[in-house]
Amino acid sequence: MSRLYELTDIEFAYNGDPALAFPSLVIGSSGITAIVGPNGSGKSTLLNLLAFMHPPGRGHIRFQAETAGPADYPQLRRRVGYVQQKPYLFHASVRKNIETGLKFRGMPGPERRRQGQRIIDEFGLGELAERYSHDLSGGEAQKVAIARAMVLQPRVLILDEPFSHLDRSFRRELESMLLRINEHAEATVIFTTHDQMQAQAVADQTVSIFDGHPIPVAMVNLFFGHCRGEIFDTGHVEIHLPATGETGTRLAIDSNQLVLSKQELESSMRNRYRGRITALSEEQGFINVTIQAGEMFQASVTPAALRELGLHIGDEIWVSFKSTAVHLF
Amino acid sequence: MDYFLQAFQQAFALIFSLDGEVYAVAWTSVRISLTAVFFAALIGVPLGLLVSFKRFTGKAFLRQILNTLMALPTVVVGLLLYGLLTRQGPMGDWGILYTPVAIIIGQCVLILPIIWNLSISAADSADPRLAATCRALGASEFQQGLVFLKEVRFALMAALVTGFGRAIGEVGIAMMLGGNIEGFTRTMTTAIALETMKGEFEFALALGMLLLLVAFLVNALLQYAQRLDQ
Repeated sequence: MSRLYELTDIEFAYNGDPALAFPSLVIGSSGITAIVGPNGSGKSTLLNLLAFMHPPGRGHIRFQAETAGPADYPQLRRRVGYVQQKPYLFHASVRKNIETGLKFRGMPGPERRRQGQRIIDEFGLGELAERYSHDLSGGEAQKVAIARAMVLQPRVLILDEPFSHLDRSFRRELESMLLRINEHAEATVIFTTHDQMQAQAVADQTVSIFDGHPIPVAMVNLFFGHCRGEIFDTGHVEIHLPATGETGTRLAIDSNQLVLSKQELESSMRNRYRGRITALSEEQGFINVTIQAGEMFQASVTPAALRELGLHIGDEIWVSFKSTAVHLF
Repeated sequence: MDYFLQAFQQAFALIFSLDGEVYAVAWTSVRISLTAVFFAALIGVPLGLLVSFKRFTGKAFLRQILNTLMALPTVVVGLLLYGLLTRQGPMGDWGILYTPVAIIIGQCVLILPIIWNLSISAADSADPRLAATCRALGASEFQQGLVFLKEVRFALMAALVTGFGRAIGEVGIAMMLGGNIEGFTRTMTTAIALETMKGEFEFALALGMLLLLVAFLVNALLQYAQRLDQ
C-alpha cells in the first residue's frame, strides 16, 4: 500500500492539556479511511493535523512521501479539501461559495466560472446554484461545502463528522457521493464518525481513537474499571484477561468476537455471562443485538444467525468471548 | 391648529418648490456628517476589529467606557473642542473655529465611540468557523481579512448608519463649533433652532421634515443593499 500520510510520534495539546498522542499512523494513498471515536476523543484534533490547519506539538507528518514542516503548511493546505463539521458557507450564493477557493488561488473570472459550473453539474447543484447559502437545508449545505472543496481538485478530501445532523435519506446520498469522489475524482477520502457501523459501511480502513490515543479495536463494547491480576473488574462484571500481565483502566471487545447462545457453552471461552436482550437493530445488513448482562454488551450477527437462534427482545441469552478478544488500554 | 396646519402646508411647498436655501442647508448638513462618518469609520472600524481579535486585560473596562461614551452629550464635546480651538486655546492657531472642519472634528469625536463599539460587536458576531474555512480553502492572511470584512459588512454598515444618524441629528456641536453661519456652517439642526426663534416656523418645519427624510433614505438604502445582496 503506498502511503499518503505517515504520522510518527505525534503529540498535540491545547493550552498544555494533552489532546492527542499517536505513536504512528499510516493512511493509504487510495480508498476511504474512517476515524472512529466518541465525542471528545480527539478525532477533530487529528483531522486538523491531517488538514495542516496547525502543526503538531511533537512528532512528524509525512505527506506524499515528503516531511511536512510548518513553513510548507499554506502550500500543503491547497492539496487538501477540508469540510468542517457543520460547514460554514459565506453570505453569498451557492455559485459564489463554490468559486471562493478558486478566487483565493488567483484564477481569472471566466476560468473560475467554467470550473465552478463543472462541479455544479457534477454534484447536481444546478437548481441551487443561484440560491443564497443561508436558505439551504443542512444536507444541501453539506453538499455545497463538499463541492466547494472538490472544485479545487484536492489530493485528499477530509470531512469532520459529515454524517451527523443529516437525515437518513441524505446519509445514503452522502455515502454514494464519497464513494464516487474516491473512485472518479481519485481523491483519498478521510472522515470522522462516532458511528462504528457508518464507518464500516463506507470505509476501507478504520482508525479507532479514544481519549486521544489510537486503539486496536472498534469502540462498541467499551468498559471502564481496574485490573486485579488477570481479572478486569468493571464494578458490575469481572472479565478474564489474557495472561500477558498488561494493565489498564479501559477495556474494549470487538462486537464480532462475541458469541451468543441460548444455553451456556461448554467451551474454552472463559468469559461467559447470562443476560437478557434489550434491543435489536438493523444496520448495514447486520443485526446489532444489545444484551444487558451486568454490563451492556453489543454483538453484531447476520440476519441468518438471528433467525437460526430465534432471538427476540426480552429473551434470556448467554454472551461468551475469549480472553484474547479483550483489548486493554 | 390652523397655524400648525398652515405651517405644514408651507413647509411642503418649500420642499417641493426645491427652495434653494432649504436645500443648501440640507446639503451642508449631509456633507459635514458624511465626512465625519468617513473619518470616524477610518479610525473606528480598524480599532473595533483590533479589539475584537485581541485578548488583553481591560477589554471589558474599555467596552464599558465605550458604552458610556455612546451617550456622550453633544454640548460637552462642543464645549471641550471650543476650549481647544478658540483663539486662546492650544489649537487656536489653526483658525478652524466656526468652520465646517470644526464641526466635522466635533462630530467625528462624538460618533467615534459609537462606530468603534458597534464595530467590535460586528466583528464579534462573525462566525467562529469563518477563519478556519478561509484557511482550509487556501486563503492568505490578507484574503482572510477581506473575506472577514465582507462577511460582517451588514453589521459594519449598521454601525456607520447609526453614527451618521447621531451626527446629522446633533445640534450642540454644530452650534458651538460652527457658529451657524449662513451658507457656510449652517446645518439643518442649527437652522431649525434659529428659524424657530425667529418665528419662521414653516421654514424650520421644512428642514425638520428633510432631516427625517435623509435619515429615512439612508436606512432604506442600507436595507435595499442587504436585499440586493441576498
